Amino acid sequence: MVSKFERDLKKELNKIKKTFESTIDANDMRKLGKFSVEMIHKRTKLGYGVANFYEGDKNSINQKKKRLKPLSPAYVKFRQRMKKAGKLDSSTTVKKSNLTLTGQMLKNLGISSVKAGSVVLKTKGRRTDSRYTNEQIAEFVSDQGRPWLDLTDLEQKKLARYYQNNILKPALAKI
Amino acid sequence: MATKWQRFSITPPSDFTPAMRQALGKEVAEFVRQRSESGLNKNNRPFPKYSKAYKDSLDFKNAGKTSSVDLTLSGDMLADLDVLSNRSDKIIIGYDKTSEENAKADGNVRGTYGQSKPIPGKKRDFMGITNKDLDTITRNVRDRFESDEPDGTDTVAALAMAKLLERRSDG
Repeated sequence: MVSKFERDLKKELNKIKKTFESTIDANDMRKLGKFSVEMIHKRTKLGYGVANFYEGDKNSINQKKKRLKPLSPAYVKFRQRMKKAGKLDSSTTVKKSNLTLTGQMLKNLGISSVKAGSVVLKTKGRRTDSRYTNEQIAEFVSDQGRPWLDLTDLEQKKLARYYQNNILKPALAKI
Repeated sequence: MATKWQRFSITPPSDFTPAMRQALGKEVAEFVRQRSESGLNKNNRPFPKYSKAYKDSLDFKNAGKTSSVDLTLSGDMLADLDVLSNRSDKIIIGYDKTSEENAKADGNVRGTYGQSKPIPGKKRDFMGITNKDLDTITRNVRDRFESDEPDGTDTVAALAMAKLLERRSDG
């Protein structure tokens, strides 16, 4: 026999599901994607990537920001030459590890595709200083121990807050 | 000086249920976030201005900040503020004691910013709420629950995020 509690719960969940489906269309997903890009861009420019941390038991994984690995001495020398040639982006320094040399990779992080309920972020375009694409460089730096193209737990929290304040509340106010 | 655990407590009305106390705590945390972002401390007074050295820093520029003091560089410190417990006599709002965000909050509240002693005139204490503001929020939470329409936006937002963040291994 289904209890009153279960019936009420089902009713509430259906209400939530309906609200969810009616509010998170492709246009809203685009806004969430744009906000995510801004967060990833800012965190990386500040010198942080993303790392998994295990807390308590091994099943509980937290994604937190982590300082990006320092640059190697040889790469710092290369960046010194780039600076002398006026090719080092102004949002970095010779020694700063913030995945920025010319600034092309982060500048080209954007929305690749969007539909109701999903948005895909990707670095786009070809480099002006090499034969590689920005996507290949993004993969390379992650493989080199500087993962960055993801959201930390706190960024997911910020995204939820953004959704709540900028999309959901205005939508509910119209109902 | 060691980092202090940053938290503050509020007293809920005695007839509030656990769900109402949780809602009250969440709303107070959100109020503190919004008030801090608008440049006001726990007494609704403006925060001291940023130093010239900080305004000239690369981080300041990379975070896209302006001269408006909003306690936001990455935004993680304010985002991490949450309800720690919601007993019937006391709701505690604050940070995980050992977190990086607690250390940042402590730097702002005491004005230490990584130094051993507070920097005079640079304390930006955002951890708290005036009685008047708390009364307003408490009334709103009561009205919402009594009208039998608890704001389910937290739950819906969490569902939305869960859906959004479903990761596909093939990218």
